[in-house]
Amino acid sequence: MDTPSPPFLFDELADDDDEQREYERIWRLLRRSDKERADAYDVDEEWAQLADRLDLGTAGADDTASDVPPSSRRAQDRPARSPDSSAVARRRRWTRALTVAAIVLCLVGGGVLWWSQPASMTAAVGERTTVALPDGSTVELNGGTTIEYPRGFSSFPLIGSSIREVRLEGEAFFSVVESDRPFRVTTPNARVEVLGTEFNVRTRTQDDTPQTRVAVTAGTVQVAGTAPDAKSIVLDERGETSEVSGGDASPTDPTIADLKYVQAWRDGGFGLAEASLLTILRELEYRFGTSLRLGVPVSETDTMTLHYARDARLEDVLRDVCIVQGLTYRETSQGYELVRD
Amino acid sequence: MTPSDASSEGSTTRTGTLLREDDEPSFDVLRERLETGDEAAFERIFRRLSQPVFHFVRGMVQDEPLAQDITQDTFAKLWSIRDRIDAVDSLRAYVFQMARNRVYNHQRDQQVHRDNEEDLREAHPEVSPPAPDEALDADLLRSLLEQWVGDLPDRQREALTLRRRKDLSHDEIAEVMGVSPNTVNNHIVRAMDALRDRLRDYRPDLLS
Repeated sequence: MDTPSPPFLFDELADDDDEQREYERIWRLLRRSDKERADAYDVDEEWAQLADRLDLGTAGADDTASDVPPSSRRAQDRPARSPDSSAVARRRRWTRALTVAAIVLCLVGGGVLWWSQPASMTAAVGERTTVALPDGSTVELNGGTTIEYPRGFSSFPLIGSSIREVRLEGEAFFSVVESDRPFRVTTPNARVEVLGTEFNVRTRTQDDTPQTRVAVTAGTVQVAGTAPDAKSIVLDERGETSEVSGGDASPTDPTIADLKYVQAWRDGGFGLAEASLLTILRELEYRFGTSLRLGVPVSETDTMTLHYARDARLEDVLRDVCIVQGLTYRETSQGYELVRD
Repeated sequence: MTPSDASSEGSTTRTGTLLREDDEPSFDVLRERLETGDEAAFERIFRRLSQPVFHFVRGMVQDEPLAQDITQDTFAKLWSIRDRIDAVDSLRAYVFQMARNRVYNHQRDQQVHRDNEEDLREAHPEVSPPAPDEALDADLLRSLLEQWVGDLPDRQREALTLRRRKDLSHDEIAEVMGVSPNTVNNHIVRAMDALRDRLRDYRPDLLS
């Protein structure tokens, strides 16, 4: 058994503790993939195939089994039990009892752990998906988005919490079923509370500054910052939009936004109004799962508005962006780069 | 299962040999036995090395059945040259080397293949984003990482893959790759740096 340990190098390699943690995290994730691959490999099955192919006998020299047809070998191909002595057998029975006990313990412990962990759903970059919450509300996730909610969200009358709470990172459109329990969306820097409504929340973090933007399509929502004394504002008109920028900020006063930009991503399109080129490229990365780089200073580019109602194609969007900005795009090994002609 | 059950299965079903860690012969001993055409020794070598070799190959080719095939081919080859391995220093490193040759041969063939029909294919069809609908964040991250590892230069990926599990000693890795141990380190350092950069580019907040 090899023990997982980060290699010797990380201390020398890393400039500080943070970096070392990063390396260790990457290493851990890779090791977990390794383990999955190792588990997928069935050495008995592989040996049976190879023995078949090389026409080998199926056992050691003492008991050859050349009279066994190859096809029947596979099912029986596992390490033979050794009937050596009853001591071995007793030890094995004990081992088995202990194994069963350990498995039961693990299952129970795992169940408790599982229950205490929030449920989590992710739409990978370039993907969209719809999640049904236990209370019947639905959430459509845009690319690069994760939501989390407690497993006791609604199903247990006795221990159900008094509030339906969902954590969001990314962009999602919520259709909330009416209930007397408030529905709350928490982002890194804002809280959005509703009773029954449809609304869109986008939260992105850039340069360590979380940004949350809420747009309502129907019903009423209340938006607040996360600071204890942060003021809150109410959105109750179709299209009303508010933004929270930064950690301790309060939401901006409502402005009316065109909901077609919210609708666009839900229909497979793409839309952003009056956004900087950096923001546009970042959202395109989430939407299409491709790396996009800006090869010119952002100060030399203009804010712009893009709208593709449905079926947006990355190349089309990039071409249009480049026409407006006087740039050109080229393919790189990881995605695309926008550069001056 | 009781001992009597086991023996009632009869000798014809006893395909494997009971492997116990403590009485496991060394690779040197196994190599000598393999030279004489001892099938049991070959099976032991396979059972001990095939999974590590598979892991290595799987790290180099992004296709599980293909990795299984290459692993099988490697051991089939070992069997066919069993009477000529007396000069081999480390059987383990030698088997990995054979697997490595197969990987690179395959990649070379693929390259030719791909060049021929480049017009029909996109540059990296396999680099599409992962689609775990309800996957955890860690799973997403992991599949991205795998993708990025796939984008690394071959030598870096190779060093990283071999070093991740403790199947080979550091010197053996250097031997397999045909470079100095220091160069192996350099490859790993560069690979880890590249992965970290991509992770940072992708989502700076994920690393905090």
